[in-house]
Amino acid sequence: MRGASSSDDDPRAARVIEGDESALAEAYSDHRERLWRMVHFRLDRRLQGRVDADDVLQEAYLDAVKRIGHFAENQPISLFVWLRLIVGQTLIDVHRRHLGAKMRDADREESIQQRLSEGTSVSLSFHLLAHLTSPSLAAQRAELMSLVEEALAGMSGTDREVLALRHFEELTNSEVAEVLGLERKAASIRYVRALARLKTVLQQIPGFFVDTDVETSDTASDG
Amino acid sequence: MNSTVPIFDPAQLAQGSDDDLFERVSADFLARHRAGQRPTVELYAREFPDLAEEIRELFPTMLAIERVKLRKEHSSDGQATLGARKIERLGDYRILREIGRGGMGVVFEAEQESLCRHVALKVLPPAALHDQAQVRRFHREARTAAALHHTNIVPVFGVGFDDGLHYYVMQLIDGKGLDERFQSPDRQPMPPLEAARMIGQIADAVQYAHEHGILHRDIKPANLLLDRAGNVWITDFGLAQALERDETRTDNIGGTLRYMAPERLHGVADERSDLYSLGITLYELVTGTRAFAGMSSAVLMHQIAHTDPQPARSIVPALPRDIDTIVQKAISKDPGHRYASVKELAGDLRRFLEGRPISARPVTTPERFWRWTRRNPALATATGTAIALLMLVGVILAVGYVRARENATRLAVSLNNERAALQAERLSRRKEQAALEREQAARAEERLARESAEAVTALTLQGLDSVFDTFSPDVPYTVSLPANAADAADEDPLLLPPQSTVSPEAVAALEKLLPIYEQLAEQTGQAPAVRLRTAAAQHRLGLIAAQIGQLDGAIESLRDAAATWKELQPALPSLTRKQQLAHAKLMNDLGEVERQAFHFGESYRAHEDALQLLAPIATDALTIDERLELARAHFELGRRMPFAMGPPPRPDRERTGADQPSERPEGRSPPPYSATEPQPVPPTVAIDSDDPQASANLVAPTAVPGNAGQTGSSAGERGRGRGGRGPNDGRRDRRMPFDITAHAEHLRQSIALLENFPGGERDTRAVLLLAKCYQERSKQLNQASETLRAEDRQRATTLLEGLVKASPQVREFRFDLALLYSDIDTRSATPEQYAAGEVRLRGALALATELIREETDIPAYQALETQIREKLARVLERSERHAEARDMLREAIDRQSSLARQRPESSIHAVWAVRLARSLSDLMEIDGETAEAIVLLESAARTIEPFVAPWERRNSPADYFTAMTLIETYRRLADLHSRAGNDEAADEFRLLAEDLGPTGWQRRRPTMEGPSK
Repeated sequence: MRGASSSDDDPRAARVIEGDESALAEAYSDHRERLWRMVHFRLDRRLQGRVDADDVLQEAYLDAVKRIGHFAENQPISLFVWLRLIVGQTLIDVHRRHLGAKMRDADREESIQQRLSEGTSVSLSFHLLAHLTSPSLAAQRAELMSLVEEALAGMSGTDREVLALRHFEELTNSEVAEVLGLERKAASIRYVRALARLKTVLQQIPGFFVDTDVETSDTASDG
Repeated sequence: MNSTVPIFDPAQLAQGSDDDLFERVSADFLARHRAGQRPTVELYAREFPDLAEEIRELFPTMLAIERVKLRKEHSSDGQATLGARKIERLGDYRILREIGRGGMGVVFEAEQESLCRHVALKVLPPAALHDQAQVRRFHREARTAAALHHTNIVPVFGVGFDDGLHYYVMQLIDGKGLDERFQSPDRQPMPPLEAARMIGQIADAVQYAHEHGILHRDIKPANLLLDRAGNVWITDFGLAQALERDETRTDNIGGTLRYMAPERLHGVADERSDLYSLGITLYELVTGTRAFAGMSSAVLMHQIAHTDPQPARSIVPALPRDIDTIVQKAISKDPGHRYASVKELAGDLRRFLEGRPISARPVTTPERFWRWTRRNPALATATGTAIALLMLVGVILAVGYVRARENATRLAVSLNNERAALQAERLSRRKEQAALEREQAARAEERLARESAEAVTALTLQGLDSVFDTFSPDVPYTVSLPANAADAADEDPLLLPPQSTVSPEAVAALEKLLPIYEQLAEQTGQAPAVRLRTAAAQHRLGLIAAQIGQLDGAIESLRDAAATWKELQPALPSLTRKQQLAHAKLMNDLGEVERQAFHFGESYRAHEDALQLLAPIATDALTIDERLELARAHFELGRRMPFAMGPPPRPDRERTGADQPSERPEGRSPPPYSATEPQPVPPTVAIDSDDPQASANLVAPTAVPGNAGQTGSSAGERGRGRGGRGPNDGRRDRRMPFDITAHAEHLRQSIALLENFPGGERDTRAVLLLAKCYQERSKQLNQASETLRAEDRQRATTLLEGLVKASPQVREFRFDLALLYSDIDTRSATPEQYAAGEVRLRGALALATELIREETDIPAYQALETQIREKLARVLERSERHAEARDMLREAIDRQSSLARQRPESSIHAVWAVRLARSLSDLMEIDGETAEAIVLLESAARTIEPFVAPWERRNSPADYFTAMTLIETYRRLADLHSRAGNDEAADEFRLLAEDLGPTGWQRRRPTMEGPSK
């Protein structure tokens, strides 16, 4: 599935336009993983533990079935991007339900920002770590990961979004282009640029790439 | 789905589709990576040589983000998840329901269809096993665990792999993890007998495993299952070992770390580490409380290594002492203090259950103290001494006072009686005389008692002093010199070798000792002598804090000490010379620290005070130390200020109308920083702007140098007088007198004192100071007298090189030499001068690197190194060696950022990093890398944003320095953005910059206070 091209050429799209619910179910289950990721990464921190990503997906599926005609009305849109849209709207509803009226659509963006900036206490713990004689390498690595999160959180909105889409939600370039309303070429350039910027930030973490290089050069790139 | 990634085929990839080649290649790489194929970056770089650079540049970053994703996916709330996966079947097993989640996997109840039995399946997160080696290890550990047969060990049936997931098959236990006790809000301590029985059973099981050479490594309540029959089972044997490299677990380290023995933080584990974890588990069961409450891994690690859990019996008073003792012994920090084996623990638990005496004996308080001292040796010795002394003084003082008071009462009674008798009998004057004599005798007795109490107090004070001395940083080299050693013994107890390993903890502990001085002062009726000792202790504490870079704390302590002195002055009409000297030294030290903190006004005044204290002494009557302190005061007063004046005056917000923020009194220019191009100087290094222009531009009131008695605090007053209607009413004017001749005169006096120093070259303190004087003078000489400047520089260099050669072990000499080497003019020089400058700077860099290698934790060393690199970069750039300059700057930024991260409490390191980033961004722009320059600067600016106070709340020069740095950075960003064609962003940054200045303040101001003129 991954790495596959846009769902434009998803044969099920035509059937869904016709209102075929079984095609919708099939497509939904095929894309489930990536939709789960979207929910997982964009779920407000305050809702963690209260709302299960699976439940949101369940609810979103019912919405999709209810609004199946919407897909035809909104052509051209690829099936996956449409499903993602539906899940996103369900997610907003869930947030509204749990967090009250203060939720605005814009909070969707804030939400990912929040998720990403959870690592802010990191510098402090990093500082504390420095005082330990020999902290375990593992913990140190975890701290480095938090630094990446911090770096991500510190990036501009566009950069962060494009990286989140490509990596956290595992969208392909053409899907990102569609979601952001860009040409594929432009989406690709934006992604590479964001990567380069992130690298610049990460480079400033002493030992960061040294560590990565070691990992990538031994048995394999590290997961 | 994911397992369908086709075989790596560069040729196929090379053939285009809609996306460009890099896009296709990176998508392929990611798809493989996500499918668990672990392709290497190098493979791709080799196959696509045209893209090699980009691949090597960006793939590692992609992997970094992927790791973050995995971490977030698989360990939300510290619990493993299978991420987006939803599984229904794995091999022979049909998944029935999820039973639980732990740090290492998700446990399902499953049906093994071939055998029609229900089992527990622990499914590892997809990323748990990194490579084949680890998979093999996982299998090996599972085989070993499967060989364990014990009634309290959950049997392992085997392992499997299906659909990209590794799993572990175990007997299904119908029960709950003991950790669930902690999840209910009304958690109760477990009855001690029950807890002892359970842990006893587990200890038997663990002992059995140990006998088979298997460590558990992850004993914790979550791994102990209580079944319906009341039996406990231990699970996950060897799993921790198998997954050790697993990253998802490290994120969850909080969960596991909590029960980890301290030695494991150092990578050491043996049977006693498991025993420790059992002990912690027992502790938590019987107290219902976490042994270590920390929520972050860093805090936990610190607690595990350094603190003992709260005694169990203080939480559950009814807890049998024996259980407490058993727990204490099991969780000793030092494995040698624990039971020798789990078997012994099991034995004691059994004995406890049977009501027989246990083998472990309670740890006594002295013993606990003793153990603590072994973990914190230096501090403990010090505190121990202090405590012992305190106890002693407490007892003696009490006895002494009781006796004295009794005497006084007796005296009063007898006096009354006698007076009555006198009156009644109207006896002769002789009798009256006798009574008087007796009264005097009694008074004498009381005085004696008081004196003995004071003697004891003095003893205590001495002890306390020695505690502070242990940590006192001070001139290290004086001790090694016989001439001064004699002096030191005689004069000033501060002269002791430095302990550069003082920790913030030690400072905190020493701070706690300070009130003891106060107490003693109170007990002895505020005896001035005792209060002076308090001041001395504050003084020492201040020096210690300064040494470890706690500037604020240092300033506070030193100011307290100065205040104590001031208060005492009326009570001490005639100070001894020694006391004068101590006071002067304090003021000089305070001045130095204030200067480091950019409080130039305070610094100046402190040194003036020092001067005033010593100036009355005739020059040829000065002792060596007096001469030195006097020279020091003159030197400090003779130094130029990095920013010639203090911050701009500000309208007093109490007043209305007349004072507009935009209206600067007497047409004084806005903040001088922008005008003088502040040389970004890390304050810990504290050297001046070497821009001669800076001084030339400034006109300021004159202070009469060398005549401290008259100068007094004239600086501030004159400033105000001239300014007329002072905007700073009620505040101290921070403006500094600035007059080249005044500075030069102080410097001249300092040099005169030092050049004729008794003992001359043998007193390294004087030599060092003299070198600094020459260096300062060379900077103050105007450019016309280049020969004189060079001469002075050469003098300073010769002196310092001599010092370093004579005492290579003294770091301060090398530090100052490095400073001197790096003190070169990078602005206006010829190519030859650049070449010479580079040589000097490389020498300086070598020295700095050496210093850092010896002492990794001294901010001043690190700041020095950064500064040298910055200067080197400038020299390289002027010599047309752009790439080298950029590398050098990059390195400087890396180091400075790391310093800033290590010292988050002080903004200045971050500010300096930003200024470095600005230099680098200039070079990047020249190279046409505007976008990269923007990225660099934006992220740099972000690091100091939190430190910037709004305009109206900026009080210190440091605040201004930080704010100016940010403002300039914003302006620079605006320029870069507009050059890159992002007009919107450019405007945004322009606004941000404006907002930080007075305009922003005006805008934010309540309208009623709006501008009236």
